Amino acid sequence: MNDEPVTPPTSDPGEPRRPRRGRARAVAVEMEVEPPPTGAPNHHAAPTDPVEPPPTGAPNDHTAPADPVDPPPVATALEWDESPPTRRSAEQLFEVEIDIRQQSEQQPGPQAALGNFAAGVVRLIGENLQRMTNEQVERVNSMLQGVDLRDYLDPDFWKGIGMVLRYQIDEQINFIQRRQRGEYTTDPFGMDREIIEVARPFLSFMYHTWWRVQASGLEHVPAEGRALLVANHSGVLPWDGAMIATAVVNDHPAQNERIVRSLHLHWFTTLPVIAPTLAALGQVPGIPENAIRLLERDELVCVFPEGLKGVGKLFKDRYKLARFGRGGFVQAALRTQAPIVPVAVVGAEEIYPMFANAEGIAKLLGFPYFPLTPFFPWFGLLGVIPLPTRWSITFCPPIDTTRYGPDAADDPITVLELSEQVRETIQETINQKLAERTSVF
Amino acid sequence: MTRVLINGSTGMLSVRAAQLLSQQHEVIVLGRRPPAGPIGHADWLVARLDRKQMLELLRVEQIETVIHLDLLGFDGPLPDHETTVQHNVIGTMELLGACRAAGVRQIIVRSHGWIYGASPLNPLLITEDRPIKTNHSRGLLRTLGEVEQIVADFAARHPHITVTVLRYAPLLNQDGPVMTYLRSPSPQMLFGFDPMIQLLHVDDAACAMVAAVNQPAGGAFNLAPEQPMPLSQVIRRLGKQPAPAMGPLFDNQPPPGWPFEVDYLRYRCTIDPQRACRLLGWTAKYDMAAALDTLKPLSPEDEYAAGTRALNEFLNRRRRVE
Repeated sequence: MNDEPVTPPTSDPGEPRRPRRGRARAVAVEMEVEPPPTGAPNHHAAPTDPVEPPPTGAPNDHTAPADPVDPPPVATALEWDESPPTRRSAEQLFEVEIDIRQQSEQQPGPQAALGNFAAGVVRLIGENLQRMTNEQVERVNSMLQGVDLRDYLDPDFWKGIGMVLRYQIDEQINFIQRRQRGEYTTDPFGMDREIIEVARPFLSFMYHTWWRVQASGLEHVPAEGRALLVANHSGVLPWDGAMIATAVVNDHPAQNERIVRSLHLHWFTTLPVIAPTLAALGQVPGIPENAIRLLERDELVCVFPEGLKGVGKLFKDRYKLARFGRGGFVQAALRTQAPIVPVAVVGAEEIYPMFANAEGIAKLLGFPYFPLTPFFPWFGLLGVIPLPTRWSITFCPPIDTTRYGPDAADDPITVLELSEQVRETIQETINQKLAERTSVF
Repeated sequence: MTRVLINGSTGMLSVRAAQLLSQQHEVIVLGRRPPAGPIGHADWLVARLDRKQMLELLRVEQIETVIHLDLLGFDGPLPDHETTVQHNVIGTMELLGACRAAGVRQIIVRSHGWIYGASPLNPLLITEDRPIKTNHSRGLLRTLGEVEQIVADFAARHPHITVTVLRYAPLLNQDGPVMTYLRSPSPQMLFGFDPMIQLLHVDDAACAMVAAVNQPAGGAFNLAPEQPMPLSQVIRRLGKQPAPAMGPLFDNQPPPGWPFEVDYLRYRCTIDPQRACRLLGWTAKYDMAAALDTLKPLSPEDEYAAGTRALNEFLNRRRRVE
């Protein structure tokens, strides 16, 4: 076993972040440019001042939007005209959106407003496209065949857009009706990909905007095949599992949107509403048989061996890893010969600073712990809003279990040694990340 | 060719099993009512036999395999507890005794896939080596735990008799308890919970029985479709909407119409059919969606197509007989 620091090379804080693709960029754009969709269609109002801030990607040397020189509108539109792509994915639509915004900046008032509205509509279509099946995307593409999406002054543009919007609304209604008829599929564990798609924008928001998560070492997570992610647990409510899953979906180099199956405390199975939600999102009760079964299905499984001792940790004990259970996770990894990827989460400890555990109330309610934070329970449900700390998630190099063989699972010495090795790796990485951190927020 | 006695004639499982088994074996169906459907070449006896009469039947007919389906609660409403104990527990003991005395070689007993109990600690798919729950408090499972224990004890003492226990997921059988629940206009579910459940088509259940007769492997077998489905989805696929019941969250009493413990509306008890797959070569031919679709009323076109298919099959069979 190596005792050298196991920090991956990419965790250098000075290194610029790898540019995110697709969904990630789309979110960034949305945060900064948001035209009021209701006011926009009223383009006779002629807004004299450019109300919208410059788009992110827009270089500022596109000057002189102030003097309306009345440029020939169609001619400028043509300047953006490349050959219209036959298959428009959501990402292409987002590019079109940025282009339209840039273009509309140089237009006189009413046309700028129209351009902004057009950009908003294109973005809406793009976001809807992300949730569609390939077949539906094909339908949309056939509707937009021959329509130049950058030329928003052309009536054909609006005709095409109108058709697509109506189709998408129909599809949304169909989606709800289909769910009502029970025509959807789940995996044997209850995971429902359609629900995950619905939850994804919210989780992405928490990931990018709320906690500004910095993920590094994602190349250590295999793009396919089984693997066991082992992470430190913290933060009263299990947000860390959701963020690890979001990191893999958004930032993994393979971009194949692998779903991380977290094992949660089986106590959550006894809670109404929460139990079916967790199941639909792909989380599984933390029972050794379940871990083995998932790994045998070549899934990416995430466990928090600290369990209750980690998630219900007091603020004063933050970033001190508790005991790693009895090494059950190592046994599961050895039995299925899955590599173990230690994961260090920094930032989640401070989202609910729990200064005391009201054990009496907890016992009364049948909860494993009842947190007292500066905001909960004093502010009621508002106290459940987590603090917007800055997070970092570090995926460490995988530990190979094949050199031990599956029978090593029955050898307590190997199991406990490996468990300790994983724990030390995570603790060291946490310490290192904490030293690098300048501010909690 | 084995000489088979099917004890219990109520319910579609008995009918379908008799139909399929009689194609290869000599089958007698014993019950207090005539079979509910065509049972192929099988013969039937309508009677309620006591110990001695049962022994005589087994001896004279030289029965080699006994299939025990005569358990109250599977195919109809459950009478009071005392009657159920008398029938299920004492009846099973008497039958086992008669089998032993008559030198029967194989006994197949029907059981329920929910015998393990619903619990948050259940693994996603339960295998047969998990201990069964013996202290069920409600419904058919209350006596079934005892029946399984008696059968297991009997099997341990009589190693020369192959004793097979078939733990079926709830059958989509017109009179079964779960079907009765699903047939109500809007079945009540527990608020905030949506357990995964498995439902088995009767034809698949009968096929498993045939496989168990043909390949006498002892022990318990879980029989269920491999892919479970959330209960709410089952109800929706039947064209209904589930109604949430809040009461059970406080008093732990099951909502009206639910014939089992309330925990089965809360936690999963889904079983793993791998052993049956390995040793009996059995897999469910109907997945959950297909099995549920068989309950839907057919559209006129589908009805016409199904009618044509059934007529052709029937005429072909008649031609072969002649």
